[in-house]
Amino acid sequence: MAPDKLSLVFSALADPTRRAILAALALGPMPVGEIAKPFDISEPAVIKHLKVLEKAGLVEADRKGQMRPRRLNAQPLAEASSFVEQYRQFWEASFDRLDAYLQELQATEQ
Amino acid sequence: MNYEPFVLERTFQAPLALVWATFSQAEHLSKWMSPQGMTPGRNVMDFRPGGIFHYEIVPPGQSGFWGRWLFRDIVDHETIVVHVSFSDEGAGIIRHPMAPDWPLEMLSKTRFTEVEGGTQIRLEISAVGSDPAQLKAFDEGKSSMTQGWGGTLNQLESHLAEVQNA
Repeated sequence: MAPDKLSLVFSALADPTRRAILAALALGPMPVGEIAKPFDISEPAVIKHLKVLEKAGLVEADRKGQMRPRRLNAQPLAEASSFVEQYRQFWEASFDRLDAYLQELQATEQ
Repeated sequence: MNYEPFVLERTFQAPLALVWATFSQAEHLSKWMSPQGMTPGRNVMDFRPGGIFHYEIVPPGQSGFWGRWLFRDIVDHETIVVHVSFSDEGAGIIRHPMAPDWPLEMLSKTRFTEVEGGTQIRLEISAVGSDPAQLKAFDEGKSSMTQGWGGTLNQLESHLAEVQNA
């Protein structure tokens, strides 16, 4: 079974280093060495994080050039955001109905 | 690391026992849990750990679709923990009919607390990964990697703003 795309996005975002990498890439494409610079971790560790981000579709590697600069793909972020927004709307509407229903139940009891 | 899930809190002006009933009995649930404009259809409720609530929701003029809650943990008048998924008529789990990328199962935890003048509900929702290792992590009560929402959302919003301004 293919893993859920949104679950991959959420797990990729759960790590502060990966969020920092995304923030850096929001400024423009960057080769791995440059991405790794501000972090106190090895380049292979950064590559591991990049792989998680790539699997979630948040980062893409440029095919051209030996440096293969990485670039941000914001589309999954927008999808994740609208997904959570839909959940919030559904539950807030449901709780509104529950509120009215509870009042109704208590009114008929009296 | 921040593993805050998606959280919604609401205080209802009703005694805890009544609010508990509206979350645990099918005849009550069908009064408020259907999406706007849709009608509750058939349902089967087996309210106990390991049991399921299998329910049909009927959009106007269309055939119904099914949802399923699998009760993972119930602490009477305190918490209800369920796996929520779309379902077929035979109570199997299926993907979201309109959004195949939707997580297959969601973990929903509802906590009930008596407060002055009523009952507070705290709802936590997170995605359950389809990765067996992640499911195992949930079973062991560990923080699964997919549990982080609320905390990531602020980050997400600032990323989106940055990207859109770029």
